[in-house]
Amino acid sequence: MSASAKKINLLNQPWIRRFMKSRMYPGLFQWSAMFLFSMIVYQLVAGTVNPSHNFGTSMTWVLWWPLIPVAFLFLGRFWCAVCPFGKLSDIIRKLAGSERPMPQFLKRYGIWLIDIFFIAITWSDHIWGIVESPRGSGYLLLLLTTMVVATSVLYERRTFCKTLCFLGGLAGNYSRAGMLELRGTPEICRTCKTQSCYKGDGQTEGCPMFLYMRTMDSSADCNLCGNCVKTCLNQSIRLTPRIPASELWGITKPRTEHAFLAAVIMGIVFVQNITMLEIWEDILRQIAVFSGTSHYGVNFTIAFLLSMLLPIGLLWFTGMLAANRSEPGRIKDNFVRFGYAIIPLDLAGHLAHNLFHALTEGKAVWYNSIGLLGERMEGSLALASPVVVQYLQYGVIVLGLIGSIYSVYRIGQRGSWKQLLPYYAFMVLLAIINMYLFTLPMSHRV
Amino acid sequence: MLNSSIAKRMMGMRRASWMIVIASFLIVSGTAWADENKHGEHTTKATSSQSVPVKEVGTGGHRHGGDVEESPVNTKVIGAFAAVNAAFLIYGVFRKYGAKREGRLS
Repeated sequence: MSASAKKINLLNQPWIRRFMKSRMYPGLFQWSAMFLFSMIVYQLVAGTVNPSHNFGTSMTWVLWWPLIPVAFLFLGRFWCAVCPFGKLSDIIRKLAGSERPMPQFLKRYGIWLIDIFFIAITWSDHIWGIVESPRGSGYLLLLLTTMVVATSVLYERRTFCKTLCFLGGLAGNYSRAGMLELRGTPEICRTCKTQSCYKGDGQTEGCPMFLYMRTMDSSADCNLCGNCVKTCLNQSIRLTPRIPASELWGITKPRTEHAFLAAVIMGIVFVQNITMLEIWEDILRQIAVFSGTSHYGVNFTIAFLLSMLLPIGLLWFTGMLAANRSEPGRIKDNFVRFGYAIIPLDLAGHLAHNLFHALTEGKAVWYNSIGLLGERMEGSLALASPVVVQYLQYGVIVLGLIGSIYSVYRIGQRGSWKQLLPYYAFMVLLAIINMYLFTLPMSHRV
Repeated sequence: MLNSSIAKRMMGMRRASWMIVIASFLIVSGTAWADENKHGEHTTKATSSQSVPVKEVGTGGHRHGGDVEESPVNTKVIGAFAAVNAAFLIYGVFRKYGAKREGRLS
C-alpha cells in the first residue's frame, strides 16, 4: 500500500466529491463574497468616514482580517477560492481576457513583488492611516480591483493572484503551515496522458494558479478552487488533512524570498503591535532625537525599517552562529532553510494581535450591520474582557512557539540540542518579544 | 504575403485598441471632473461638514483620535478608477473580438 493511499482522502466522501465537482463549488461562496464585497466597498467610499460606525471598516478590519490567518491555518488558501478579486478575474477573463502567457519578469520576480507590495501597503497604512480611514480602505480595494482588471485583460489565468496580490505571500506562507492539502496521487499522475488538471477540459479551466498536479509538492499556491477535481478523469486528486506546519520540514527547494517574507512578517507584527501601544509616542520622541526631525513619516519609517530588520538580522546572525566556520556559504543556506521555521510564530503573532481587535471590538460588526437597516445601537464593543484576551494571546504564542521549535528540530534533521541551540534561542526570543508587547495596553482600530 | 498582411492588421488593431483605451480614459475622467465641478456638492449618505466625535483611544500613529469630519463621496477619484477599469475592459473586449474574427481564438 503506497504512502498516499494510507492518508485520509476527504474526496472519498461522496457528498464532498459531488459538491466539489458541481458548479456550486466554489461559485456559491464566490457570489456571496462578491455581494458582500460590493456592499463593503460602497460603504467604504460612500458611507460615514467615522471608522467606528462604518460597516465596511468593521467588516474588513475587525472581522475579515483577524479571521484570515485562522482560515489559512485550518483550510489552507480556501479564502483565495472565495476571494471576490479571484471571481472578478474569472469573469473578466471570460469577457475580455487574453490568453497571453504571464511575462517572464513576473514569473521570475513575482514573489519579490508580492513581498514589496505587502511591505508598501503596511507602510502606507501607517503613513496615511488606511485602516482607520474608510475612504482610504475603499481606495485601496479599488486600486487592487484595477490591478485585477488590468492583469486579467492582459494575461492568462490568475496572474494577479499568483504574482501581485499583496495577500498572496502571506497566504502562501501561512498555508504551508495549514492543516489541509490537495495533491495528486503520484502513481496515477505518472501514467496520465491528458494533463487536464493543467490544461483544462474545455468546460472547466486548467489550474488558475499554474500548478501541475504531477509536480505539485506545496500548498503555498493551491487555492482549493476545485478545478482539478472537476477536470481530472482519473480521480487522482486527494484532499487530505495533515499535521499543522508539517510541510515546513519537507520543502525540497527552499527559496530566499519565502524565508525573507517569513522574517518580514514577524517584523510587521512587531510594528502593528508597537504603533498601537501607549509607549509609541515615547518611542517616536526617542527616534526624533536621533533623526533630528519631528516629521511622523520619517520617524515612523525608521521604526518600520528597524522592526523589519530586527528579525531578518537575528535570523542571519543565528545562521552564522550555527554555521561551521569552514563553510561561509552555509550562512545563507541556514537563513533560507530555517527561515521557514518562523512561519508558525508569524501565524501566532498575527492571530494573537488580531484576537485583540476581534474580541475587544467584535460587536462593532453587529452594530454596524444593524446600522445598515437604519437601527442605531450603542454600547461596549467588547466580546471578552482584556484579561481573557491577554491569556488567549499568550496561549496562541505558546502554540506558535511549539510549532516553530518543532519545525527547527525537523528542518535540522533531528540534529543535536547543541547544534540547533541558536535557532531554539532565536524562536524563544521572538516569542518573548511578542508576549512582552501583549502585556502593554493597546489602542483599538474602530 | 498572407502573414505580413495579418501582421499589419494586427499592428493596426493594437494601435486602435490603445487609442480606445486612452480615449475612454479621457472621456470618463473628464465626465467625472465635469460632474465634480458642476455640482459642487454631492448627494451622499454622509452629511457634508458634519462633525462626529470619536472616542479618544490613545495617541498612537495608527490612531490619531479627535473629531471626525464627514466628507462627501469623492467622485473625481471614483471616476478615475471607473475610467481606467472601463478602458482596460473596452481594450480587452475589442482585442478578444478581433482575435475571434481572425480565428485565432475559439
